[in-house]
Formats: sequence, C-alpha cells, structure tokens
Amino acid sequence: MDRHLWALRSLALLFAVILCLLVQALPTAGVVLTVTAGYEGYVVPGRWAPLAIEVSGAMDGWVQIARLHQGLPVVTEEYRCRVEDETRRLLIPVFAEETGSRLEVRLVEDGKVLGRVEVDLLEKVFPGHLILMVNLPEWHQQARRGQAVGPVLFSTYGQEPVLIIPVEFSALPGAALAYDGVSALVVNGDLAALNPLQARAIRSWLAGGGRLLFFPTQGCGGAEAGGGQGEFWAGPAAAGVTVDADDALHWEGAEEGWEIRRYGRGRIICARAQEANNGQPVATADWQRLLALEPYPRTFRLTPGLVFREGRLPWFLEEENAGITTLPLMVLFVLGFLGGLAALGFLCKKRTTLALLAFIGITTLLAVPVGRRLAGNWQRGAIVYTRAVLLPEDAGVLIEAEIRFPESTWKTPVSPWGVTVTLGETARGAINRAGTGETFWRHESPQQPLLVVKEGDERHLRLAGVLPPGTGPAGDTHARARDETGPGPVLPVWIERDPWLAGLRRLFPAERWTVGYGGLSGFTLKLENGRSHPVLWAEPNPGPGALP
Amino acid sequence: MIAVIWADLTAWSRERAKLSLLVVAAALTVAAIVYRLQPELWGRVLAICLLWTGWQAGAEKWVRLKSWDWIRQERLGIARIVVGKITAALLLILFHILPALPLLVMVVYVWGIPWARLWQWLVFILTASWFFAALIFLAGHLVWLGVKEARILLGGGWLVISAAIPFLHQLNPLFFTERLLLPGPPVKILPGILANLALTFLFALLLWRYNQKRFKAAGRGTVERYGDGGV
Repeated sequence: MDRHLWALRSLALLFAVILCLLVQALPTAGVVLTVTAGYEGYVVPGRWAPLAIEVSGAMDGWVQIARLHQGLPVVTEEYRCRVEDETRRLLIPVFAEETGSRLEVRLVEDGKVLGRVEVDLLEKVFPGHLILMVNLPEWHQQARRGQAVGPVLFSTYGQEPVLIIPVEFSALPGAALAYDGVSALVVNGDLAALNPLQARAIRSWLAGGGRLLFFPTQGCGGAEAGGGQGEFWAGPAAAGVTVDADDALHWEGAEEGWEIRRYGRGRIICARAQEANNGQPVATADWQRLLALEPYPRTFRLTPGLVFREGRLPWFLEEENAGITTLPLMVLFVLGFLGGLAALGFLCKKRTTLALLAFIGITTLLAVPVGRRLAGNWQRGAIVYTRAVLLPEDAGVLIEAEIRFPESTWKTPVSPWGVTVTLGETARGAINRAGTGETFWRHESPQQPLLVVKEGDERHLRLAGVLPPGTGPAGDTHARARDETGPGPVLPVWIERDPWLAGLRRLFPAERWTVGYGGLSGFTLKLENGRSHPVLWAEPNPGPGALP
Repeated sequence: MIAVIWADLTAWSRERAKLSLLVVAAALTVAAIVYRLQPELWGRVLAICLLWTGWQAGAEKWVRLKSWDWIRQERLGIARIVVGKITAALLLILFHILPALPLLVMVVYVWGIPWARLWQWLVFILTASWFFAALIFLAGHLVWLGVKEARILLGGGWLVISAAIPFLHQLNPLFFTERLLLPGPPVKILPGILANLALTFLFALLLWRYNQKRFKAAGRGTVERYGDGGV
C-alpha cells in the first residue's frame, strides 16, 4: 500500500515538474523566426546587405546575430525585440565577407534560445550591378510580358552584369548601409510614398554615390515643386542645383528625354513626363550611360574595407603604374650583396671579420630608414573607403570605429597585422555593444559627439566622430573643429593639402568639416589621404610614457 | 668544452666561412628580389638557409676527422665533447643569421611586423635548425646505414614527415614561418620550441651514450669502422 502511495506521489511530482516546464515554455510556443538576406536572396560579396528578420508571436527578448568564427558562433550584435500579437520586422545591414559569411540569428528570451536560423550570406551571390526597381514602368512591363515575375539578369549591359530586382516601396530598407550593394534604384512613381526613414537612407546612399532613376507621375518640374522628390534637392548634398530669380530650381544637366542631376557623389535621373508616360522603352545602352554604371567595384563604395585579411598579404610592390618602381630597391639589394662580398675579403684581405661585422652593422642600421621609407611609400595601413564618410545628412554622420590590434603594433602605424577599421552610421535601434574588429559597431545616442576617443589602450581603440560637426560640446578638449565662418583652432597644414577634404569642401561648400584626429593621450589619430584611399592612422606620441 | 667549441669554430672560419656566408647572403638577396620582401616567402628562404647550416654543422663538413683526432689526442670527456659540438653548431647557425640582418630589419619595417612576433619566429627557426643539426650529427653515427643515406633518410624524412602530418606542422620551420609571419591571431610557439629543445637534448644524450661506447672500444683497440664518427 505504501509502495503504491509512493508511486502515485512520484508520478504526481513528475507531472508537476513537466507542467511547470510546459507553462514556462508556453509563451514561446507560437514564436516564429524568419530570416532572409539580401534582395530576393541576392547578395553582392564584399558589400553590406540587408538582413530581414521577421518575428511572429508574442515574446519579449533579444534578437542576437552570431557570426560563425572557426565553426563556433560568436554573438556580434544584439537587438531588443518585443512582440505582442503581431509580427515585428527588423532590417539590419550585415557585411558579406567575400571569403564566407555564415550567420546565426537567434531569438533569446530570459536566457533561453527560442529559435535559431543559420544564414549563409553567400548562398546567392551576384558580383555585379544590382538594380532595385520599384513599380515597373509601363514599357518595361510590356517588354517583359509573358515572363515570370522575379529578378531579371542582363549580361550585356556594358562591362558588368546587371541584375534587376523588382521590389515594393515598403520593402526598401530604412538604413543607408543596406543599399551598399545596390548600384541603382529605379522608381516608377512619386517618391512621397517613401517613409522618412527610407527617404533619409536613400538620400545618404545617393550622397555617397548611389544612382536614382525615377519616372514621376507629373514630370520632373512638378517633382521639384513639391511631392516627395522635393526633399531630395533640399539638403546640402544637392550640389549643382541652380536657383533663378523666381526661386525655381533647375536641373543641372539634361539630354533628350532625361534630366540628370548630381547629388553629392551620386546622381538622380528623371524621365520627363511625356517620355515616361508614352511607353517609350529605354534602350539597353541608355541604362549604362544614364546610371553611369562603372566597372565594379568602385573605390568609394559605402563599404568599410579590410586591407589585410587573416593569413594573406597582398603582393608587394605591384603598383608599378602608380609611379613606384622596384628597380632602385633591386639595385639596393645587389649593392648590399656586393658590399658583403667586399667585406668578406675579396677586395680587402686584412681584418676580414672586423670588416664583415662593421658592414653588417652599418647596413642593418641603414635598413631602418630605408624600411621606414618603403613602408611610407606603400602605405600599408587600415583603409577607410571614402564613401563611408561622405554622408552629409542634416545631423551629420556619426563615425564609430573600433580598432583592435591582436598585438601591440602601434609603434608601426603601417602594420597590417590585425589592423581592422570599420566605419558606420547611426541606425535607429541598431546597437552592437561588443563590436570587435570585423564587426560593424554602431551607436545609438541623441547626443552625438563631435569627436571623442572613447577608450583605448595599446591593443584596442574605440572612437566616434561626426561629419559635419554642427555644434560641439563646449570645452571639449578631445575635439577640434574648423569653422569656415568664425574663429576656431587652426588645423595643421597637411589638412589643407588633403585633396580628400578639398573635395568635400567643393562638394558641400556650405558645410563645416571636422577631421578626426588628436585627442587621446599618448596617441594621435590621423585621417589622411593614402595613395588611393583615405587611411586612418593611430600613432603613438613620441616621448616617455606615451602609452596610456 | 670551450676548447671543442673553439676548435670547431676555428676550423669553420678557416675552411668554410666565406663560402657558407656567401651562399646564405646570395640566397637571401635573390629571394628578396624575386619575392619582393614578401615576409613569409623570404622568411622561408632564411629558414632553409639555417636548416642548410644546421646540416653542414651536423655533418661537420669543415672539421671532419681532424677535430676528432685532436679530441682523441687530448683525451677529453665524451659529455664535454658532445656539448661542445652541439653548442658550436648553435653558434654557427647564429653566425649565419648575420648576413640576413639588414634585410630582416627592412622586412620588419616595410611590413610593420611586430618585434615580438619576429623574435618568436627567429627563436623558433633557431631551435628548429639546432635540432636539425643534432639530428644530422646523430645520423652520422648510425652504424647500420651509410652516412649519406642515414642523413638524407633522417633529415629529409623529418622535414617530409613534419610537413605531411598536420600535428607536426608546429615543429616544421617552413610551415610555421608562414603562420608566424602572416597577419593573424598570435601563434603559440612554446610547444614547438620546447619540443625542438627536448629532441636536441635527447639526441645529444644518444650521441653521448654511443660515443662513450665507441671511445671505450677505441681505448681497448677494438674500434668499429662504421659510421662517420671518425674515431
């Protein structure tokens, strides 16, 4: 009897435990996690691509993005996610490494993983021009009649293949970085359909070199006067806009049937109303010309880039066409060898050992300045692509970077060993609290700093800056600003010589520009023009106790 | 021991120094031109040069017979002889790094290689070459094989095996050079260095045991005529 009672009690206890577990799991039962990458799954390697994460069902937790590093997932980004009876959609730009990008997206609530999806960003790779098309024009629909809806691949447009992907207005990302892999955006309709976040993202992308081709319902003139298009000309990036006595805006350039205007580094092409409405098709050759699709990749994409990947070095001294010749170096090596021959006693028979040691000592000492000069000539360093900082939004562009050095390599600012620089922009709701070298690190704060080196040591540096600065915090000793219209600290001479900055000033003459350098005790940060790319340097200050 | 070291170094200086140093300097200069100072490729050439030096030291190209004759005359202890020979081999390998110094410094500055990593690499290839010298030294004393065959079998075999088996890559200077001189996470070199030193010590021990027997046999007048010990 007792045994029977004990069995019943045990069974009841077991049921109670199972019930508790089930109750705890109840909120997660209906949660569905869906993840899609790129546009229709297509991703341009070496560029940022949108990662759409859709969560259905009630939950209150976090979405984590983990990169698979050496087979093990390492959480690099985390986003708050609270869903009550509806579906929440997050759109996060992620960088598609050319050597492989496997991500794991996790849904976590109270430390428990509710679901996980593994994504291979390079599953559908398109290494060419990706064009997004919103609302296909009439002529294009006629041309494609009878074909299935979906991406269209043209392989004959100029030098690079072109992939056109139809999308809806609502599917356009609200983060500029997500457009990094997009070469052009074709819109048939009024841009007023864009929400403010989308419009801001597209403006940023255009300013950095994007191409927008649109077919307005009321023609280009009407578009300027009002509607969604108008705001695209209002910002400082609309360089080249002319205003006549009637305050009417005029197109900068035009050709038959098309109006073309520069927007920062990008361009906007507008089809005149009559051409847009009469169904006149655009010849394939026009696309290349109108959108100015250049050979891929361009050097000033919106992409932060790595120079030296792990375990690989570029072939040295290959830039013969950049004015560098290897001949003097080869001659130097041969002369060194001949000097060694002489020291060994072929020319001098006495005191061979002493002569040899002296020769080795002298040549070793000489190797230091020669090596430094060579290193300076070839600019081995962390490259920051120009487009990443050419985003002249109204509030400025926040640069967040984290530089990690696996070893203390700051004494050699040109060191490729482990130097990784990433730049980014603000993205609402996108925070990466533990960004590392290869991770895009973003900052969410209403108070954007002018230029602040947040923290750093000999192996790690984190900094934030804004271009253009606006008004910086008073008495900020970590920042220096140059005000074109008022007094301000004088910039070093090299800043004035910098063609990159000069280009910025030409593009946006009304803006004030701050260059991120200086500030951290023991280190000097410099953003300067390298041979073909801007280079971010982190150099220790000379003198004892330079390291913090 | 110092007398043995001095004898070996003097013999090397008199017989082989110019040729040996010139070969190393020429190889490194050609490699610098051909590989354009690419650190991992040029570093491999330096590692090969040091291995070659280790081979030369182990094979006693410049002190063969004469040194052993002298040792026999002086009636030195076996342990001191072995330690002296092994130490002399290390010094000879070190001497062969000297012609590489200017190019080495240039490579470091051009590529910004951290000094810590460079020292790690140098210590590693030094110990690897030292071990290689001890291996070749031992191979010259094997009685059941011809001298050349034994050296090729042991020396070449070791390089091939350590290259073929991934686990042994951390002992192979040619493979490990790439990992140390290319960008990437820090590499642990301590296991490789300790393994090389332990093997060098083990081979020195074997040499001592073997030569002890041979010297005793020589004392009794029953010297075996195999191997390259020269006693």
